Amino acid sequence: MKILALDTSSTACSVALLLDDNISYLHRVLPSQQAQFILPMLKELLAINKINLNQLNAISFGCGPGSFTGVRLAASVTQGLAYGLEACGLEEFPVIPISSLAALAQAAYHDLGWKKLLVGVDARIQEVYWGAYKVNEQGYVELINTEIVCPPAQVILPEEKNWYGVGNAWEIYAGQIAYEPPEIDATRLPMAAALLELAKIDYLKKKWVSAKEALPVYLRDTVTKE
Amino acid sequence: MRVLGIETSCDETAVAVYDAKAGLLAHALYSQITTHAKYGGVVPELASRDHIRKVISLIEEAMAIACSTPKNITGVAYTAGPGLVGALLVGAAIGQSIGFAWGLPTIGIHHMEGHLLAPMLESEPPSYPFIALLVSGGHTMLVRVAQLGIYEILGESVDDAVGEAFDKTAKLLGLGYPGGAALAALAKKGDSKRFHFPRPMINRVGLEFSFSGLKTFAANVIAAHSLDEQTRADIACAFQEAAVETLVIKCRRALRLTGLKTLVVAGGVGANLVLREQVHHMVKEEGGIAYFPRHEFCTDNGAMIAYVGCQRLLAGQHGDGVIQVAPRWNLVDC
Repeated sequence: MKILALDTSSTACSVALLLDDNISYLHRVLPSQQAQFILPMLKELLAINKINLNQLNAISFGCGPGSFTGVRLAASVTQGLAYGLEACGLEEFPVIPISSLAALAQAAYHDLGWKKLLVGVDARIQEVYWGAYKVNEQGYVELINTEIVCPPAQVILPEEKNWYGVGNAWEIYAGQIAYEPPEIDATRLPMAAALLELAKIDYLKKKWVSAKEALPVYLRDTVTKE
Repeated sequence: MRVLGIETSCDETAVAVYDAKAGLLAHALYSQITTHAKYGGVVPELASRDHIRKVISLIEEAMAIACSTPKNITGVAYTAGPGLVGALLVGAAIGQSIGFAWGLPTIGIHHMEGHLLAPMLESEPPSYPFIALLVSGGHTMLVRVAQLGIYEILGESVDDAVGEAFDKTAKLLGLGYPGGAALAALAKKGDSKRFHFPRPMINRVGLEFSFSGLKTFAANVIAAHSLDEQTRADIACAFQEAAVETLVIKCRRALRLTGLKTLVVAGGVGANLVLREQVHHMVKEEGGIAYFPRHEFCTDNGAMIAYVGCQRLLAGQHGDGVIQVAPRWNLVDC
């Protein structure tokens, strides 16, 4: 199984490659420069692993929520690559969108072992992107309820206790979220490597979309007043 | 050389395939006008969101019409600027990524260069050198075109673009957004003698334009009258006459100053029939020839980007495979 992944929903430019059970990745914090670096980093990663694009089985991307421009960049690159491969004769080339919040939760579980995670990311204008995740028996995060964007004081909190906090909202809106986790990790950014852990499950379930369906999830759908 | 061209600089998503020998093979376009009309102008974030929903479908459509496969495409061109940064990034990222997937050279194109050379898509294109009048909602400029990539700006608007003045006056006349074409239609019913609007900057030496004063004059006339149907038509007529006459006077001046006999009119306002008629008349008087793109290529389109991309790739130019856009980009630097 060969899956390429990319995430530019935050200040990071993150790419990763799954080759059977091995994941290799490049992850650099490059605020406002992801557009310039994403393709060179993808090429570098493929070259390091001596893999050509046409050997891939699927591409996964961090579909957001996050920076509008950032999630659109990852979606655009994914669309271009997937369409390019599809047009070369491969039937519908599998694209696997993965939530950038889920990627944060998966990475926090992977690194810290936390199994109940409240992910909050600054959505600007005094709001947060929010999702609650639990790790299942297979070791993959699953969303509880739905992801939302709302003021930090209005986030949906589970009734159970002992949820860990992940994402910069825990620091930026400290005291405004009506919950005090035993520990928080506010500096973690979405990593493409974490996308891959979740994408391979979707790939095996044939849960994918086509190139033109590789679209961002903004959560904030009202961006102007009529 | 066969080039896939992608245009996403503002509120039209457009794709085309141009072949150096066979000419334009296909062009497909999605207009976002209805998305933005209720806001009275283009909302950049909504424009970007629309582009990413449409580009791939349009590419599929254009490739099918052109009976093309990746094997017979030899380059990918996209609009790199000027324009809305988020909108440009969608086209640039998709264009560069397709180029990477197909192992092809890619090139970022200056949007206004596309407009400038749009008449080259016609069966009888102009020959270099020529004067081009670029008139749209974002630009008003006179350019001396020596050859591909050699441009000298002879004059441009010091404030509003003429298309913007058309659209804003149309809005004040209750014609919606963008209302330039509706204003021109309404003007047909107007009495040109009832109002006299100023012809801005025609008494000054040089080829600069200014349209904010004309726009303000129109706003004042509109505010001072009760707007029955005939009055609206009379105002539209007087406004259009003033704008067109101003453009034609400057074009004549540009031809005389440079000694050139060929004039190209491009950009959205180039679709205005009164402008076309008066330019033809003036150029004939000057002993020259005027060229216009077909109506659909006056406004934003992918064909002009695919064409310029093809010419530049044929000249051995190409990008470095990096997604880069230039929301502000002077034509003379492209």
